[in-house]
Amino acid sequence: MATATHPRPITLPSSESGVWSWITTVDHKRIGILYLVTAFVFFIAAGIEALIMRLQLAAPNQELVSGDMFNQLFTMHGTAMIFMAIMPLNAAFFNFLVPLMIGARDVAYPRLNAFSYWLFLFAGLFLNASFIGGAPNVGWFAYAPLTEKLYSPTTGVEFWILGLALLGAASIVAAINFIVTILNMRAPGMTFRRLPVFVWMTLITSFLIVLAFPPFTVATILLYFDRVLGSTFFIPAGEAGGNPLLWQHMFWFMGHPEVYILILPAMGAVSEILPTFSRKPLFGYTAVVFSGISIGFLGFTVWAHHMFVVGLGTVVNAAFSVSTILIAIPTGVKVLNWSATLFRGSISLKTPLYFAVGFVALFTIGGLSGMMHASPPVDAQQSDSYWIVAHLHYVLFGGSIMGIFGGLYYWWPKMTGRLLNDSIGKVQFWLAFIGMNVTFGPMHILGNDGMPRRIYTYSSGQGWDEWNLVATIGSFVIALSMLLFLYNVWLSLIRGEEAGNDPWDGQTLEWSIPSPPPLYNFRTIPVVGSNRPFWDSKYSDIPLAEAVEDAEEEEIHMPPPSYWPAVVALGLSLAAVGLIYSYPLAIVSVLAMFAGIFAWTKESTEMSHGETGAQGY
Amino acid sequence: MPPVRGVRGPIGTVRYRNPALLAAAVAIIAPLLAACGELTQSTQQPVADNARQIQDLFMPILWISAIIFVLVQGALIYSVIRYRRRSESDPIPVQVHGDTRLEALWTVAPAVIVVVVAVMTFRTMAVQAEAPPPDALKVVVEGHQWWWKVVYPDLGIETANEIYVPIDRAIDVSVESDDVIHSFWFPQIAGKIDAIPGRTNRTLFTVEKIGRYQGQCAEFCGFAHAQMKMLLFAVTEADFESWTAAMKSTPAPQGLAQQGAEIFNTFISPTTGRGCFICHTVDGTSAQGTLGPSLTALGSRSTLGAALIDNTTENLTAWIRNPADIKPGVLMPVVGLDDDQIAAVVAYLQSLR
Repeated sequence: MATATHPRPITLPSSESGVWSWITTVDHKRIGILYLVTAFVFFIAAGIEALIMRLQLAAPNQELVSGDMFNQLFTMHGTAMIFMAIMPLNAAFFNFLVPLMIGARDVAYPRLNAFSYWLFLFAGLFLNASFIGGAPNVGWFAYAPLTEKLYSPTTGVEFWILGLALLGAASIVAAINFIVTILNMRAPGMTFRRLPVFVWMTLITSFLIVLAFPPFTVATILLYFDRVLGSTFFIPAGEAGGNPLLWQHMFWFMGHPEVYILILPAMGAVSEILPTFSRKPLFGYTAVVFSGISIGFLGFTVWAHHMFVVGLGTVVNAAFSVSTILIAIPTGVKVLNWSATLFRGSISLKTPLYFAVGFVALFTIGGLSGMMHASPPVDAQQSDSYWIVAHLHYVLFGGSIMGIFGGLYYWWPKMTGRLLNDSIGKVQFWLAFIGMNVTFGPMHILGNDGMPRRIYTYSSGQGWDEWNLVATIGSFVIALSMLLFLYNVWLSLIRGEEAGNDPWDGQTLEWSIPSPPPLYNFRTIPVVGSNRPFWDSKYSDIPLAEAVEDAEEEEIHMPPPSYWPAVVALGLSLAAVGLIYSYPLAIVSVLAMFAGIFAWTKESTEMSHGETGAQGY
Repeated sequence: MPPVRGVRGPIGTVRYRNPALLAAAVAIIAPLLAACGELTQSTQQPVADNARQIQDLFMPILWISAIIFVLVQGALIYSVIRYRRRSESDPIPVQVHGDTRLEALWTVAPAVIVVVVAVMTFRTMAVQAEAPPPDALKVVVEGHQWWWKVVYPDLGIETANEIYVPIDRAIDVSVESDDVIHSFWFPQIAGKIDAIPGRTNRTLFTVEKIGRYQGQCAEFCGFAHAQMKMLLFAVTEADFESWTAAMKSTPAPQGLAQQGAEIFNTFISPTTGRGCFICHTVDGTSAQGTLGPSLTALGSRSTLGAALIDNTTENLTAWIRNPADIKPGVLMPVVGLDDDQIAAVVAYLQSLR
């Protein structure tokens, strides 16, 4: 703990070390690290699922896994990467960074924050446990009526419905928390025009989650009714009066904003990394922020572009085509502003910059291929072909994952106090960059050659054999890159170079405090005078934290740890298990959840005085 | 494809046992095989108006994208190399916060590209939205897990998985589904259109080149989605006429085939309770089941199992013995016929032409 630079605060809550301190923690930084570790484990699991699929498809007519297992694998790969890997990896950054970047001591609702994490953890374990009895095998989009009991009799679909309902609840709760935190807990002087772009993107993402997930949760509940109670919401007209397309509308009303939920935080991270490593401000801060807002807004107007081939009609397709292509404008603005940030900078070629530039390069490819199937006739060929697999991985791997790794290399020193090895980092970047292009680049060709998605086998002689083999080789290069990252993490934890407060010559508030930050983050709440407060305190005469002296005697109040968030989350998750296997268990679990909520409301939020010493983790 | 001895893929020669019909079959099939060699599903080799219109739209958008790609990647690579920090003592660069004129320019530039792409798109959509001409051939294709029912409503013909159409004539396909959502896709012929239960979607195309084309279900539809293929035979108007005539005649089975017909139309296995006629129809006979594909004129089809394997004696025998060996997940069960019964049924089915 590098607290030496600050005077010891007067009173602090007790924060023991060990497992219980982590289970009961309400510290946003610890919760962020829990999110990071948990999501990374799920990320690796979903990556292994992808490797098995690539092995199956490496050559025609292979029988490594059965068709049904393959269907389970791609369903779980997509579901896990989206809801259990990228979203919570982003949440890890939100948790760790937002209070630090806005000059706050914690999030607005610390215990609710802990609840979000535990619910995410249990829901993720719950969904992965479905492999025991047959995982969901209907695709991450779960199109009705394939998901109806008649066509999918196993409990996999129940696992999917309940797992996503839990994950959705965790995300909504977390999003509300971040919205309130960002709106209410900014340091004095941290106006919206001075808010770091990463925080802006967090705010937009959180609004998208709050608007997109409730309708989707309703859809999953309707599907649950169809399966368990025999209702007919998605069973088609002639037979029962329902409509399978209703599911698609409700699903993609979440599903498309979800793309921006996944990519905007990475855009935020890149918008922090590029200026820092160019020693310049972000080019066109206002334009980048407004582009993010308009992407978020347009994101809700384009969902039917996932449905261009369901027969909505020429006029509907044309309208959704226009709204979709319009997104090219704010996206183009962002890409060009990032490029202009580098232009005439003093670019430090460190690993975070590699990943950030890699993000811009690869995301541009994903954006361009996306513009092509924004055209409904073109989409009639590309939809559900490997072209789409290529496109979405350029956006989500080339975009989100590259941004996340950039963020990890950039903020890891702040989280742990130690640097990741830069040389290993660069090798890891090149492996990831080459590997992803070798994996997903050929998939454009496969799609153009008519290879549909989600096929577990194909016959030889269609021109698909070679490119599939190339893609499989590429996927193992990506795997190697991930192993190298884990090695780098291990190396950093055992003997990483000390980072100090400000290893990158940073611009934003988090670099002004020790690494890792003390429990209370800021000894005194800073007063912000520009949108690069820490940079300006170093390089110009706008000082930071004018109020230091006045606050010397002020007590720092930090929320005390609590058991109840974990208890409530566990009760809710066990209720989902009970709904599948045993209704009595469900009832007991719900009662336990309510007991937890009751105890939560009765719990004292007074911090325990008398204990001193800022403890990290 | 699972390892069944003697099973051949749909690529290669189609075998015909009956010499008289062999001649007729060769007359139709041979030019097709000569025309295509290997089957492809490439969207880049369109053989019908619909797919070519899409290709003609795709290529300019691809070129626009290629130009943007080169410009953006070029700017990135140039900046990173040209402005890299050479030493830690490099001066702090000029702190440029933005440039309103530049930013306005690169807001307008993508907007112009958006308009160009949208206008090109709308022109293609307008062409493809035209109503079918009055002489269009109507075909109804209905997706099933995991095969395609093919009906010619005006000709009174029902078949499965293999579609015959005349070239140079508009084909007006109504796409439906009996169970879950499928997608009707012949990449060389037309963009895909979903087969959705409770709805009828339409697609319109005119094949311009004689040939045998392969298509495949493009919407994930459960276990055997990967093996839900189909073939389209584009033939001359005259060949199409003789095909429709052949489809409507019901040959009288002889010898072993007659025994097979008996088994097919009446036998219910005492062990499994199953029988051919319960699920299958053969026009002009008492077999009128509707759960499985129509087997009318099965002998003249070139493939089995939704264009999965060649229609040969060995393959048909293996298929009837245990369909799931060849196509895992298939809904057709083991009927429980002994080898002699299977041989008779195979002879019967092959006599249906």
